[in-house]
Amino acid sequence: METLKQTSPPPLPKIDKIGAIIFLLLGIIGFLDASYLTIEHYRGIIPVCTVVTGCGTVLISKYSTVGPVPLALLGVAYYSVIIFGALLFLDLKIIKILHLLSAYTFIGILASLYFLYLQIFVIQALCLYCLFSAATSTLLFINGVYIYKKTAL
Amino acid sequence: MENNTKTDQEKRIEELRKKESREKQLILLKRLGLWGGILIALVGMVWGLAKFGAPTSTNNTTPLSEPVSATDHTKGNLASKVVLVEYSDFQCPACGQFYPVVKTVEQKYGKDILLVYRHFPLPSHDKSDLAARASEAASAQGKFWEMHDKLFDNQTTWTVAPEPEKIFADYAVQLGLNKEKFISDLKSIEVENRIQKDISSGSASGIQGTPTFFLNGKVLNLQTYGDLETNVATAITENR
Repeated sequence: METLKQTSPPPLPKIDKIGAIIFLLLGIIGFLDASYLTIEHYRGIIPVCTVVTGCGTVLISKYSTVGPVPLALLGVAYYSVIIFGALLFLDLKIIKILHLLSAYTFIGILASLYFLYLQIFVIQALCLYCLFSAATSTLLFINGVYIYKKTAL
Repeated sequence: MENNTKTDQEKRIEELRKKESREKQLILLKRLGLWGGILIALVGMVWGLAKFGAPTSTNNTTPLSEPVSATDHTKGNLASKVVLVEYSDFQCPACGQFYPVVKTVEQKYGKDILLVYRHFPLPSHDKSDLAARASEAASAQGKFWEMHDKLFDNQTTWTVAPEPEKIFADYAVQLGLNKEKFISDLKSIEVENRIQKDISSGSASGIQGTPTFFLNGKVLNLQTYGDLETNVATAITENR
């Protein structure tokens, strides 16, 4: 009888759940943004500067790839981990996952700062979708700091 | 009586078991929904981006509005029936990447083709108008193509320089031009009008970006760098 009563796991602290959902949503936004840039990278065999959208200066600069791997693809990988981690936490409800995921967002903010530096001071051109990704990473980091403190072990 | 209570108890246990199994099923469904739903949504959205995202190539089919004339900057065989007009911007990195491709075409097919360069400085490039002026100022002293090459060869240098005028003046000196005349021509109304003429004809030809190539008046929708040479080679064979 005792065992029968304990079928469902204990409910999550509300704040953790909200934090994980924010991770998930931001992760999806970042994932789509980075996917778009990756698609453009592989599709845009011929770079063109257009009157309306300006130029793919950033995306065709030598800084847009690490060896043969486009940075956008690394972005896809980064956001995939965020999505996977948030889902894993929402599923298994292990606080440690959320704690580690919060720490992981530090990588994103570091990378974003470096890319922002490259765009402003080295390439001297901005890329709209890259800036959008930087904003997503920043929000992820802010959420990460908050959750990291809340889930301190 | 005893039998009845036992049955009641058994019934209750059975009900609880059923409830438990329903709850387990519900949890499983929730988990499946969570993972599967997100996965399907992501795949769908990425597919949508790939399918409907703005393509990088332009879909312009407008023919070349302004026929090639004596005022154009030309290279190659003036008598050739095959004419390649390029609308370009000296600061545009895509044009910089096409520069060696056009050079190869010139070296390979120079005897059978007429190459034309027209200005289309994009507003998003802060120094492209000045660079176009530099090429026209050099043209006034008969060295348009020399300056054209110099600007593309050194694109990455002057695009980030704080004072490109000085660099352009240095290029003029290196090309043996009269520096004073070059500097005064940079700001001349004739030079400005000459550039404006190309921009107008480019706009009338439906140009959406640079570089845009017109082969015998028809716009080329290139997919790879090699496509330019292939199109030129085909046109030359057809016009023999």
